[in-house]
Amino acid sequence: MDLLTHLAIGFETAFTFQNVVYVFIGCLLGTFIGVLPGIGPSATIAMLLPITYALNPTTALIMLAGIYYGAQYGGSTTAILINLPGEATSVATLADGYKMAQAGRAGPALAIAALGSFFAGCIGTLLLAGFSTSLMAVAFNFGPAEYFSLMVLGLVGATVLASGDTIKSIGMILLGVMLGLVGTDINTGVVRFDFGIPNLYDGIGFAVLAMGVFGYGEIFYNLSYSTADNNKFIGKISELVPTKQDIKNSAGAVLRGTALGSLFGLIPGAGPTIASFASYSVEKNIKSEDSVNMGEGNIRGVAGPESANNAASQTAFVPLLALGIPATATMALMLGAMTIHDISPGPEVMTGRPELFWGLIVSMWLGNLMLVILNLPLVGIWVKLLTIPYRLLFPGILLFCAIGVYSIGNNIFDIWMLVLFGLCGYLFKLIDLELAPFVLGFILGPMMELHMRRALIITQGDWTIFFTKPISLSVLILSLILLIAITIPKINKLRTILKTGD
Amino acid sequence: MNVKLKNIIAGLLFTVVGLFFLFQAQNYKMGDLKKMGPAYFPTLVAILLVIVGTVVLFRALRDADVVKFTSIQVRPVIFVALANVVFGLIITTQLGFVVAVFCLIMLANMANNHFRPVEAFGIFIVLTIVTYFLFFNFLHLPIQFLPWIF
Repeated sequence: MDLLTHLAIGFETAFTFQNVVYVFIGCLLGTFIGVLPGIGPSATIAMLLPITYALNPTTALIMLAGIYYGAQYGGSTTAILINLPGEATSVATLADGYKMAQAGRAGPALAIAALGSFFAGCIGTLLLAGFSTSLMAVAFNFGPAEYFSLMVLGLVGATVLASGDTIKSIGMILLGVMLGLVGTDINTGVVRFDFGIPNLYDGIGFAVLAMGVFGYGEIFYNLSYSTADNNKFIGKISELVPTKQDIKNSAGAVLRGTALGSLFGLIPGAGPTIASFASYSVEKNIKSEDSVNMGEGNIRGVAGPESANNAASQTAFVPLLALGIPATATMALMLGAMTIHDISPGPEVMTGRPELFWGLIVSMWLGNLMLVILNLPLVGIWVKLLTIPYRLLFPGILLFCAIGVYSIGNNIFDIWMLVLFGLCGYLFKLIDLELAPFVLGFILGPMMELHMRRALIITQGDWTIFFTKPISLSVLILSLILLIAITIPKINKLRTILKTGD
Repeated sequence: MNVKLKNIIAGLLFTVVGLFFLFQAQNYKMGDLKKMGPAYFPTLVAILLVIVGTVVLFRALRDADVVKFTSIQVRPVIFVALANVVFGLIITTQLGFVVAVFCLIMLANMANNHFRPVEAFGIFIVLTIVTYFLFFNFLHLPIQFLPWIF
């Protein structure tokens, strides 16, 4: 079957009345919560996870895709309007986006961000469909050794490209892996690290951990440490439609951003973040006769990074859908959601449940479309939401997370775990430890152990299998190159430049 | 908190957790490369964690000492944690869901420096309605909604 037939299956699944409604609700909820000050996209997705549990797997994933886009877009909205990036992916938008808002041009900035993202999303989705199908064709031959090495690459990528101290990121990965190993060992049935608590026999629940470190952790941090006043935006959005000149100026930036984003999204680690900074750097270095300089409210500084991070958000799904290996924390959240519905993404999903796979792909595109039709008319409401003081919001987040975790397993123990992980997340934030590598390690750890053991059982304990299989070897070499690369001062400098956009 | 102190805490955290899991893991069978036991992989990870922790710790101790403390407010942390715990204690009892929500909101509001009862009551009403529709009407959460007397 070719791509068109596949897409037809996808459209058939995604365009049922029920699924369209859920993409819509997902986008709406995602943007709604994502826009609220002090709640980042990861916390948004974690918080909304339980709501999808009651749905059938396909619809649940489709709704999650909607939530994902909504949350991302919500983050960009706060970046433009109040100079507060929801997540690292919209940091690059800050400079010019906020300056535009200050100059009374928040409307066109938001519109270009939405339109650029939509364009990038369309291209990204097509690439995602193409790349993941071809990667899957190869992945059918992958054995446990290849999977193990790919996970190593994923984790190395997460540390190398993560902002901050590399060795501390490695520590966070290992910490995540450790906690991921709590519970019954699948191979032998032995219960490990349960500390005599029967509730830990099945391991630590992913939703509990994610809601704790992202949701509760953020609340603790915001209330006790942050002095940020979140009501910086006072102006009104009068004009929404970008001028002809705006569109003319940003068209090139959107195209370049899309190309860069699609490419960077495929690299494991902080794909969308690096992509948006790379795009910003490129725009900054392009000579033009714009009336406004970059960094002072130039529309290209919004169009480029926003298109780039959205294109990268799409292609970042490739390793997850084709191999079942998440490359970013958000993808780990998506994987966690899939696991709860007993779906383990990988080649089997596409052949075994094509309607799920292609339905998801098409609904991603649908989600992007929804954002444009939903957000531009509703932008006035989003602006109002931004003015809600945090003290009115956080009790709701507390409550949602608490009932949310309880509703997953009807177990009060999860509520205690929630506050425990909240305190952990708070501590991590206080001492500058990153959450993304921790969550990735937690998800990937048990998978790595499983594949490592399988590989060694097959070879009767010969560990050289990781280096004799060509694909496994090349992936490991690539990981090593990445690790060595950041110790070279010049490259490390480039890394810093990419992260700060200078 | 200054960078040095942050790194010391981070290093200690990694080392202590690593050591803890390392010792715990020795309660299980190690196995060998041919057939790894439940202790094998965790032991490897724990050793790596201890190494990373030690490196972070020593690197931090070598750093110049900058003493600058930013005060951290303890009050919100205590009240938010308390709100969660009280909610968990009440939720499945005869007191019912609404009472649990009420206590959570009140305690959460006390996490602010000023307790605003009217505002908290407003939040309580709004959230009760929203959660009723979402978690009881839509997700059919199997717990008692109103107190037993109703």
